[in-house]
Amino acid sequence: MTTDLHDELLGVVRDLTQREVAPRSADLDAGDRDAFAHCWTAACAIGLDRVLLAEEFGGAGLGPADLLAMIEEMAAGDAGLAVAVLLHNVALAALPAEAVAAVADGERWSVTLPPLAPSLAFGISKGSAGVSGRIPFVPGALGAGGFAILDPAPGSAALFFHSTAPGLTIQPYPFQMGWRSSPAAGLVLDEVTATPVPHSVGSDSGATRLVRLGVSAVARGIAGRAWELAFEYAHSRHQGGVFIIEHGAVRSLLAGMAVQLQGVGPAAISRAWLDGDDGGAIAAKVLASDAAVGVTTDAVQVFGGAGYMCETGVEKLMRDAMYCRLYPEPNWLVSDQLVASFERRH
Amino acid sequence: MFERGVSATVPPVRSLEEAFPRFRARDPSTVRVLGDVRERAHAFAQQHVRPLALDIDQRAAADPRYVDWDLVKAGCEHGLLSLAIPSAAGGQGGLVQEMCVTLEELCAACPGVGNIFGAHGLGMLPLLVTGVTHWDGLLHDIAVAERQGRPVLMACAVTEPDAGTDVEEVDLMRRGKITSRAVLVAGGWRLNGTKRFISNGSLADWVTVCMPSDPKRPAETWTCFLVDAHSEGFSVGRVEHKMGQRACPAAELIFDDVFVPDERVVGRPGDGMPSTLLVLAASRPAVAAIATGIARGAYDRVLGWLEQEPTLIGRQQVQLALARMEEEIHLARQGYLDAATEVDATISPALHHPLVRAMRMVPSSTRRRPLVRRWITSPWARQTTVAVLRHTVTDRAVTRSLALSSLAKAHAADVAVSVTGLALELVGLDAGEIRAELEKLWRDAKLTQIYEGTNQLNRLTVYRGLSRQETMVALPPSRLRLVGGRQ
Repeated sequence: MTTDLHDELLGVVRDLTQREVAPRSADLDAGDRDAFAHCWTAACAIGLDRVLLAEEFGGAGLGPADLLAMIEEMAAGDAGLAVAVLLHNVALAALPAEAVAAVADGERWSVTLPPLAPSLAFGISKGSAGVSGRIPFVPGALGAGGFAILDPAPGSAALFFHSTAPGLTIQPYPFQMGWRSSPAAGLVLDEVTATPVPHSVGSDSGATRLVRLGVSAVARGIAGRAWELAFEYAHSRHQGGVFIIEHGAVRSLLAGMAVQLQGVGPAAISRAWLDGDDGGAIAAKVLASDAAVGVTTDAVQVFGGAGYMCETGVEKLMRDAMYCRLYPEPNWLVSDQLVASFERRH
Repeated sequence: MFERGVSATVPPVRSLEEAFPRFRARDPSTVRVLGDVRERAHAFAQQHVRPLALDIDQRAAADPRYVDWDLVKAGCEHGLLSLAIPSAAGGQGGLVQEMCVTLEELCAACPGVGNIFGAHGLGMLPLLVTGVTHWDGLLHDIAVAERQGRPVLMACAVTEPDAGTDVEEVDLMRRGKITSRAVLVAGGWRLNGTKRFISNGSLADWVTVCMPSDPKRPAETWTCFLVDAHSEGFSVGRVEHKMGQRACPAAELIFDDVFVPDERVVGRPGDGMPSTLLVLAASRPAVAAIATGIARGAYDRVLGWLEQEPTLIGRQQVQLALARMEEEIHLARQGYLDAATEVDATISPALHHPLVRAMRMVPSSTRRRPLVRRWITSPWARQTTVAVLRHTVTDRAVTRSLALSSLAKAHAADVAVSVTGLALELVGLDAGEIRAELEKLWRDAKLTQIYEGTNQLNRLTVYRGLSRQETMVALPPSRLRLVGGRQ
């Protein structure tokens, strides 16, 4: 895509985020379903629900790099909504054409990735009668029209099923701290009839890589917003008779935030995608989510007591950032996978 | 949803000698007293507080005015409101060390609930550092009410809408925008202004509040007042929706021409700022203990959870993370204990001055007689209290204590945020109730980097007090000089 078109598209998403999403950020965080429905409808109206699909399926025919840039813009308004858009697009890209055609306008899907550690395996088993097992944490599962279960093992298939499938129980996830506009749930499958499909996004591990890069884009969006808020606040709040930006302690905090943000630039994300680099995707996700937690924590610090209060909206960014560190797997857990990806190259 | 209830089992607490290795070299009676205090707090925290922590957090998220009064009353049975009240006033005579050890235990279970008792202690601190004046008034009443199972809570109100960091540091205060004001009137003072983010503000029966009598010279006229929350003109404004520590509400307090009689001035008019430094020297180790407790609470939980996950705990990455947490918590605990020991040692000579010892020997019933009471609250007695402080404690000793306390606070707060984050990362999103508890502790932890002065301000105090060996004016001035008994 040309740079001009790319920028124009991003401008549309940015405008939507500022106009429709950001003003509803607190409502979205409070789990207001009407606010979510409004934002989701607005996102669908500009085609954000079908970014990766070809035009014959009503899609925009854009590439993953475009989707990631859009996700980052949207995450500046609300991370939960951005995650919903990400997972929906990944799910649709994994579905076969006839299943995509059956997804109604405005319907939202979610997706699950296999866990990295064998000890945390879902315990999904595919028997002749259907699929059984338990999947613990699926963002946006409440209210989703269907689910795709991705399996990155070479040659294996993804599975998909509708949320109304017999044998499926959706268990709400209690006390969700981050991404609260995408209420998560555990899925319990008891001989659910699930349709197998081959992957359709890039290589076999493409969907998993896209989700990780998507989470790093969400993390960047959150961190960027935290930086903006802290920077503005430092120029408006007086302490000691001057704007707090004049205090070396505050400048030092802001400088540290800026360095962290620079360190996770979009280049790393798109390079990992274009190179089909699983290790790069994992590293991008770890770096961006750690940076997001660091930047948002410092942003609350710049605000002081006010930042700890919900009304300023900064503490929400900190909570959302932490979920980027925990999903699709906690950052510490990727070390084996990351090293393995380098071992494969040698 | 997770269930609400009282736990029948109490997990073991490590012995003091094991948790604080340096206790081996200490006076055995002090170790025994602190050990008892810790055991009691641990039992209360694990039996009564931890089982309710998530439930209270959720209720307070929906309604920030929500308070679990049954839990506060249960705290009365464990003497948590009178811990720091002198035994001569009917309390338990604990000092900063006792307060800290207790807060670590409470906050390992629920920092919000711990902060109700911590903020109560902070509310009492200005009364405690100003000598015997208030022993037989409010402090005695709090201890008596506690024995009757009737909690009388306190709060300390310093922060203003436009002055947060400014009110914690004398140079900033001189250039800051303090809008509250106390005006001298016949028989007392009239207070006007708004205080913000006051922990316990909406629960307290009594509030110690600081205001200047001359807004142009706030640092020189900063005065502490004891305000009855039922006074005419006093009201509670907004109660904040907070990220964490929700069990302890943070409220806006509005003073609209509130009258405070002369005898409820805490210390002397204009002594507020030096007294604030002494209060901060005593309160910052408490915040460090709160932060240490939060980190330890996360560590205990993740360790317990991992015992059920043999494939995870067998991995070196996990073992290294656990060792790192143990390391951080150990150092944070030594930090607060060092600071608390230093503060207690700094103020101890004043507590053992012959005049104070003599006052202790007078029965409380005698001290409460109107004539004696009038003498105790007189300007002359207040002047003598300051003279005792000046005679037994130095500005440098308080500055050093304050710097050590600030060091402990800033370090422990960072430890709390990092250890809770690490614990949450270890268990991930599929760990049921433990995950929710760890998320809560991580949210709770962030506040410790902010309250009692931001970590940045605390570290600047470390620079002044330790790196530069500066001596701040940390005690009120005294023209009265005492002889003999100087430490």
